[in-house]
Amino acid sequence: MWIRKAPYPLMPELPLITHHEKLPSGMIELARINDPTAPEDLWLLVKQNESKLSLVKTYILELDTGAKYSCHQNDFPLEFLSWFPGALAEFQRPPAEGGLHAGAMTTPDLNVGGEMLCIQRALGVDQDRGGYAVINRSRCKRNRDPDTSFTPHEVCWASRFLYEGGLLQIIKELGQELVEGKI
Amino acid sequence: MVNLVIKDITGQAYELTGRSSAPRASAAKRYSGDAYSTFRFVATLPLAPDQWLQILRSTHQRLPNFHSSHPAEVHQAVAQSIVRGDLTLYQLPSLSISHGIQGKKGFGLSIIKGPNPHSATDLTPEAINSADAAQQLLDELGISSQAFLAYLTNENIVNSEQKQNPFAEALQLLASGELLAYKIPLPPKTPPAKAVEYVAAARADKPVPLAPESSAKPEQQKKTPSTLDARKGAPPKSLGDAEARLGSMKQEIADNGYKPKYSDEELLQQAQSGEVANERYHVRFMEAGHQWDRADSVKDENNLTGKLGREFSGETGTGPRYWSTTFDQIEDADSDPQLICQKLGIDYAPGTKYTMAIIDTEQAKSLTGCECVAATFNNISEFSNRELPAEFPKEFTDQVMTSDYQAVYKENYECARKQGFLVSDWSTDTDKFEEYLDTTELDQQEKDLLIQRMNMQSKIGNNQHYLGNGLTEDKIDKSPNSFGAVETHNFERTPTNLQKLKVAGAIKIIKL
Repeated sequence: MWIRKAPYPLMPELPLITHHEKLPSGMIELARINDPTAPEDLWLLVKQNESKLSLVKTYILELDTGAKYSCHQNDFPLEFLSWFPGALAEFQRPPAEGGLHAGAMTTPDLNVGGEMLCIQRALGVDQDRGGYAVINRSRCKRNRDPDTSFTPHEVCWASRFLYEGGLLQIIKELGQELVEGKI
Repeated sequence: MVNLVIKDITGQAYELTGRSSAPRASAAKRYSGDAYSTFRFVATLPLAPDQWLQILRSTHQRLPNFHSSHPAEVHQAVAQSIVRGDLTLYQLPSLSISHGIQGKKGFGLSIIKGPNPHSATDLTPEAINSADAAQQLLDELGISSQAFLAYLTNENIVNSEQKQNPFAEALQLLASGELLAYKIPLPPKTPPAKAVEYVAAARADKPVPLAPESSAKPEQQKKTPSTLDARKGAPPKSLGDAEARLGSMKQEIADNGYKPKYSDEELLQQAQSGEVANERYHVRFMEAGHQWDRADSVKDENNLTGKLGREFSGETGTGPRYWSTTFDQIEDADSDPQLICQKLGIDYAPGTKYTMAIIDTEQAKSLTGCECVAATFNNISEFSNRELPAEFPKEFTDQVMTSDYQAVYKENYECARKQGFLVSDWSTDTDKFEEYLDTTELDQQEKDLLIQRMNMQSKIGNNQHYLGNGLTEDKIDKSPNSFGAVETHNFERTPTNLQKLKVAGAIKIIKL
């Protein structure tokens, strides 16, 4: 049997966002963007609790039983915005330029804003064009037992979404604003 | 007692010693790496498993029980011995002008730490008894004091910071023997090497008789005997040699008809062994046009802006962007795009232009960061266990990387697709997949396993159609085989620009 235990002390759960157009009081939408590689997906970047960031993915599925709205939330420290662009570039560096060994698919877990994050390569997304995932091992997915079936918070984006789609640019700009104290 | 010199295929020399032995050369630098890096490194050294076993026995350690004759088990045991300290590997400095300083009169100078000389060369260090003699040597070779100091600093041989007269100190070190100077002939002529105590593995230098060029009139040409057997296990010596060998297959096929280089049994064994991915020359086969970025309208042959990855949208937006295998696997197909397509199990599209890139992975690896495995259940599992142990440990892959589970995954994937939860045939959206699974009667454990299997697809690329035997389907009409070639799976963090590889001499593009 495959048992997964949370590797680090877990952060307290943040308030749940159940609908992207009805953010609970105190939360601020920083940006929203559609994913060109999965046009049904809308992503929101939401600041909450002063120092936290919720990455929210919403979509409507057209099922046989009718339209079904979904809203999925994965939480990170707000520092994600200033950390991620540089960390991604570093992760992409090949060995000849001082990067990780050939075949490395993940960074080590890094303390970012008090939470343990890592970046991973996602070769199979976007029809094998590839992308990247960010994992937060300081948070367990809701409704999972952190002692036996720990599932970290995770977002996964296609390279085409990050680069041509403009998501990375948005994150960079927000990161700059964070550094300048504007958010 | 163990103390021997090994040279890898690039000519880099190493000393291997036992626990209680020091290296012979003072300039030997101890190799240090984690268990996995050491294992991978040991696998590159040209010693046969039997030779490694002989070395291990000489350390008087109890050998582990080997479950098969797979070289990787022996390499693993050697790596563990090195990590434990029962064996120690030292890298010897390269006595070549690339690690030396150019001088005049056809010589350069290479400096290493003394007093014990280099243990893998027949060159002898220059006899220097005094600082004046050291200065004379530099004058003779026309090497200035600044250039000499800069060289010593760059090579980390001395630290000239915070020294009052670092040049004088360096001359003293040469006089005392703490530094040794070797005159290296120019243009670079490889210094004669001491014979190693063990010979390289038999695969390395077997000559391949290529089909002779013929200037005779076609009707007078004699058929050349098949060279396929001679090509087995005989890697090309260079990218140019690889290209020539491909070209020479044309005559062979014309004379003898297409014959597969390897039988189905041999291909199955190669896919399972994992050794195919360690071959030096790999190929990527793609539709022409991917050599340039799709935004690049110029398409200059001397400026390949394309990448060795799957960045581009095909016209239909479906299907993989390239197929990969090794040169050894594809050689028998000449440079015939139809044969290659059929060998790789691809439907050949007449009128489509194809191209093939031959990659020297020794040159390319550090530029691409790419690791390659034959795409079998076992190899993909081992890679995942190693590189993503938190996400895909052995207890997980043991359950999901089987034909039976693959069928379960495929069935659930197709149901999710059919019911509209997955919006495309290549979706890896675990949130949507979980919503589908919540409509089934599977228990949470079964759902978690399927969700994580999809997570594996998103990270590794083993989709719902993945067969796990590491082989392509042979679609060549006259071939007796069911299997075409061992298919390799490439793991790289970002696609690399073709031009960068071309400039580094790591790639050759063959127009088909």
